Amino acid sequence: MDPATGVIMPRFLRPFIAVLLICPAVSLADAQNNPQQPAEQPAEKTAEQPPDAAGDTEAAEPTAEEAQEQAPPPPPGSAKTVAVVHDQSGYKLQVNGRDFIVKGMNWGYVPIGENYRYDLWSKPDAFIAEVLGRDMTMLKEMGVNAIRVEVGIPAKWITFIYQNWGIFTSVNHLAGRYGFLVNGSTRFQVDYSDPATREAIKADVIAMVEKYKNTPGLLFWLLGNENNYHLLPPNVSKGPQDEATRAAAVHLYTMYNEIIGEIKKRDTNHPAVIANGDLLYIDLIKKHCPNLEILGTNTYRGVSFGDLWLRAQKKLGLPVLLTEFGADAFHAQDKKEDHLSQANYLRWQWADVLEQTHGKGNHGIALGGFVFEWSDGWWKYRQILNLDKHDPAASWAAAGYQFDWKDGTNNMNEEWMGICAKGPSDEQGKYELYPRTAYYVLQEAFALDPYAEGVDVTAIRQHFAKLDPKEKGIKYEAAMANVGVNRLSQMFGVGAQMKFEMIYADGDRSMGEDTPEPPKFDHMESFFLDFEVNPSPQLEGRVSLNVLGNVPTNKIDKLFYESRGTPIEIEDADGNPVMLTDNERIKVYQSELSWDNDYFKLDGYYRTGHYHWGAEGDFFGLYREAFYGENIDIYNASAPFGMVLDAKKALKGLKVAFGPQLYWSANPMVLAKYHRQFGPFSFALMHQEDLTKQEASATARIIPEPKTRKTTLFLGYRKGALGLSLGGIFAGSDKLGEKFVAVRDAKGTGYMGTDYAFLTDEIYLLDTLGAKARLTLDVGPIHWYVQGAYQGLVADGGPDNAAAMVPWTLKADGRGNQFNALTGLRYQLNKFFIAPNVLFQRPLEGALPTDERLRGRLYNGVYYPGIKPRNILDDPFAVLGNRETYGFELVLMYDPTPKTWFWDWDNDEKEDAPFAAALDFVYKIQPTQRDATTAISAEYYIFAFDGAPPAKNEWDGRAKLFFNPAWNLHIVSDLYVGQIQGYRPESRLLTRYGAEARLMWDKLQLHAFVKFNDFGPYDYHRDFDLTFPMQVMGDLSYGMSLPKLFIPYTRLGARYQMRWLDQHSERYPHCIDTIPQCTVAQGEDRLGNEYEFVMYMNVSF
Amino acid sequence: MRHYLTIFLVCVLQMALCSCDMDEAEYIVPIDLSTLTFELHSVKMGIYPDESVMTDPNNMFVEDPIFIALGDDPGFRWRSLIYADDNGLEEPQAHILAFYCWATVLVKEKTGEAQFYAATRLKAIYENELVDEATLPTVKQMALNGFYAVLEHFPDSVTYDETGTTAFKLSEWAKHHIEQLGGNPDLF
Repeated sequence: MDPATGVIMPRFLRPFIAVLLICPAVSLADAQNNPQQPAEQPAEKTAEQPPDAAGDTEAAEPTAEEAQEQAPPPPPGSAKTVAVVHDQSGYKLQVNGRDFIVKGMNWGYVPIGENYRYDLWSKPDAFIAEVLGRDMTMLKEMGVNAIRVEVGIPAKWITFIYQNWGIFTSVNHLAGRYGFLVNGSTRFQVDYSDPATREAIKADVIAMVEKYKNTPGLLFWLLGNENNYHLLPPNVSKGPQDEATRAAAVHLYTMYNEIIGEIKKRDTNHPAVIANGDLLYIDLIKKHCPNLEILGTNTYRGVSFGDLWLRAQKKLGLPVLLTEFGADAFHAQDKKEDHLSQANYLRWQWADVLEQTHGKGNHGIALGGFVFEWSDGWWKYRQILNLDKHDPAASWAAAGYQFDWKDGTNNMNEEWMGICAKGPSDEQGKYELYPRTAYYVLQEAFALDPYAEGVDVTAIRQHFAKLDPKEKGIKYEAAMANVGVNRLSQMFGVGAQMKFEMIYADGDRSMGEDTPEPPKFDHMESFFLDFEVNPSPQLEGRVSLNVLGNVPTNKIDKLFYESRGTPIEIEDADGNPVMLTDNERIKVYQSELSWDNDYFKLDGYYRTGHYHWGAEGDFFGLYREAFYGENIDIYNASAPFGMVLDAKKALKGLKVAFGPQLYWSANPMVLAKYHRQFGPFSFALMHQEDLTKQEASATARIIPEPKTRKTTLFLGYRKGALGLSLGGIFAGSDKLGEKFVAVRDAKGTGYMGTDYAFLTDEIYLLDTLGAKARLTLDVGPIHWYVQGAYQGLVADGGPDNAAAMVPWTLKADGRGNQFNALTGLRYQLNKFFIAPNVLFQRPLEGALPTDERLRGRLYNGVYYPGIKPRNILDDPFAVLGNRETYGFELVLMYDPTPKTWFWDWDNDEKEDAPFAAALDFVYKIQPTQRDATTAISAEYYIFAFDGAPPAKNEWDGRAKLFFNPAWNLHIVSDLYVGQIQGYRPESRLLTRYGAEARLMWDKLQLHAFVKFNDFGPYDYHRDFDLTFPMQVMGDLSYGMSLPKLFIPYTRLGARYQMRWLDQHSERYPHCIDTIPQCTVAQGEDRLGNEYEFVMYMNVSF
Repeated sequence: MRHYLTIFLVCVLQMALCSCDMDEAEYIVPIDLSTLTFELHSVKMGIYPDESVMTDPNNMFVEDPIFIALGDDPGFRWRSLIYADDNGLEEPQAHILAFYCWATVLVKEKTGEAQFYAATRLKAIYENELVDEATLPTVKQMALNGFYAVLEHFPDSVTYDETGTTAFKLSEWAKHHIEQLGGNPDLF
């Protein structure tokens, strides 16, 4: 059952295999040799069975009509007939004429660190066979006779599982539960009333039936997964019984009815079952789904199923199969694992099922069920985050689970539903399983055949009364102690990385007069050590230390994380030079902590990333996203650094972030936000209070701004296809009264012979205010947005974090001093989409012109004050990213596998399509210049340039391509071309282009790039307009595992990098007398160069 | 809902009314220096570490980027501007203008050279009686305090001759001017 909170929580994994273990009395050999007549007869029919029941053990003769459409007989060894048998003692399932109680398991294989995108079936056959060999053997030994798995499993593996372990498979089509592709566009919230949607789903189910119907080992067709819980968006539905939601339910069940009818036309050997959420809408099922033969339900009611059987029999009159049932193994109140309670609940749940089977004198409608689930899903809680964390958070409440239920709190811990605990994966993706107490309890529970002679309610109760989880629990606890896994553990080291490099570097270049020539050969050692503290499930912390060995001085890229330890020369008190060699040898690289209790969740971070709050009412982007990749290391920045407190209970909706640097360049501040949702409306009030000004900066792109305060208000509305966001900002009140210079056109009569007049003005209250609005519309394959803002001179916000289906490059700059308008749309056509986007942006007060005539002068007793170019260091505002711009962008994309979203942050590693590509072209018309940018000098002080380059248009075209010709061959490439300017006043308009590619072939990785006429790798290259005519790099490495792009892994490699130098490059050997390589006569036409060759070894564990 | 909307609109109106009290922006225009006079804004202006000259409405260099006009060395820049042959300044105005220049550089750059020349200009204002009689003693004392500040805060500062290569220790010259003004050159 999905939680009422609306969090997307599929109850079984995708891909997912449910194992159905046939009765132990039937051996696999018997099934293969004599599928019609098993070696051992089932329990003899009792005297209570009516005479015509014997006939029910054989497949019913088809009617004349059915005979005409009957499918051809299945191949030998398969389940010829799976039929529901009914008499006055109730319902039974029979497979090939034998009584069959479904002892099923929701099965899947997802290693820790992966999520629903992991596809076992794309791995090599040998790997799959090994995985199945281990899991199916364990399931068979447990007594499981069937598994539930999502459609996608190749038919051959269904047969493989059945032929080797006798375990049946129920194939599940989700029928649009998580979205569906309709007429070329993906509908994430499926509308079952839409004819095109219904036909699309129906066609897909029919294709599934045609594909699998003759597969040996097939048991059922399963449709949906709690589709009745998500009929309308949560902000539209007023509850399950409101008129609109019930109307949507009618459409769902009529669709099911049609689908089941189509299934029956094609296959009469395997019943169709719907996986409903409990008994919700059972009256509608009765009325609108007459073709249904078996009701499947995902039911979580606690230690028993209560009135489920009574209500199902009374209102529907069909047999019931529990498509999901079970309990989690985590105590939500004690915050610790509770495998004994899990086992106890499963014990009595299965006892309840058996008491409701055929012939027990009760309702007689239980056909068995699929336990949820085989192993813990470490991705369940946040789906795409913390995948390597076994999250103890409870996401919904079920009062039936009294062992850890408390009124007002959640107690169902989604990541702890496994019958088996899961260990970490090796480099191939294989992991250990540790069967919990529930495994052993169910093993004994499944051993009781409810259809055997003498098995009545008394016998059932006696059998289960003897099952003591405490006795069984010893095995699990011993296993966990053996592997050293202790949930109340002390500090332990969890990881380490060692980097070794040998570097040879040289070139035809000039290091400058004051810089000594570095050695040609040097080396580097750098060690990272991770420690994790986890004293209780509520509290955990991690710290990563870096220890430096030798720091090389000959690398051609001078800035890198370890360069903080480069020896520096200072002067002592007597003015004598002293060399410091031990600076920052040991440094905290990263740290984070998390404390989750009943009243709040507190997360602390130091140099680990965090997301923005754009989806929670931070309309003006005050709390910026802080993922900086390697830049944070290159510039040795101490950001982000802070804490976030997320309140619960009465203060739910309140979030407070505080710290020295919440995002790079942030001033020490406190940020508080209160956000609430009321049906389709949402509201947020946010305030930022800077405590002081940040002093340090490592790069000119990240210049701290003056201490300030900001307040924003957000109102949102979302209903169906329409979304509306409105917001207001009040910021920069600390600048009230500050003076600034403004410019006006004055052709022919301008100041000092220019075409401009200048005024001095000051900041007023209206300059601190701003407003913004955004409208979105989703209609079929089209997603459209339009947005506009007016922001006063100092009403600065942050980056635009509005969620977009396309990560367009053109976005509103969050600074004040502008009004802007943007609009864009995404049109999807099958696997293609096209997304144009336009931007109009204009400052309220334009940039001050850079003109030699505007320098101050004194002439004939008259003083002409100079006009200084604005910058953010000296002025209350500056025109930078908010310069006058008319931007046009076009994105084209082809992605045949939308499960791996093209622009996921890790898609370079995860994209699995044989071919996928995206093109992004941007053209910016910039008729006026910007104000002066800031830069960092060689002596590390921040200064502003004395002007800006002339206004030029810029454009950029990029292509990203993915190729996956084989499961272990993955190629990613990026191509770019464009025109761009630097930041200093004399900057050129550059035409640059280049290409970069990564090839990952099994454990081999090749990474290479070539760039022409482009800036160097650091911010200061663009600041000072430093370019290289050509740059090349090639890196070849061999690893102990498949390549990883975002985390270190063990590998041995070599890298060669070279760049050519001209007069625009740093370290260019200008022709001066001291450089013997050239003469003055050669001028500046010659090229210099610098290169390095690195052998490296990274060891990571 | 209406109650809250009313409060919201009242607040908006109040903010709008407050904003109506805005002064007109002023055009930047050339300034005739022929009538420039020295105004005593503060008895500490032009004397380190005081920064009151930056709030003196008579100081035209508060917002002026003139120091970027003529090169990197602020002292050189100021000298070039003030001592240029074609600047058309009469001597009284030259002293006053030069004082404001050096006093502004002193606040921005905090150099002994700026302090020394600010003090010499105060001395010139005093000696040329460029203020009213009642203010003359104050200006004299300000000049003395400026030279004392050279001795106290910038004892090792130097200035250079026209060639920029020969350095002169400012403390010695400061003592000389202190003596001329009747002060105590051995105070620091």
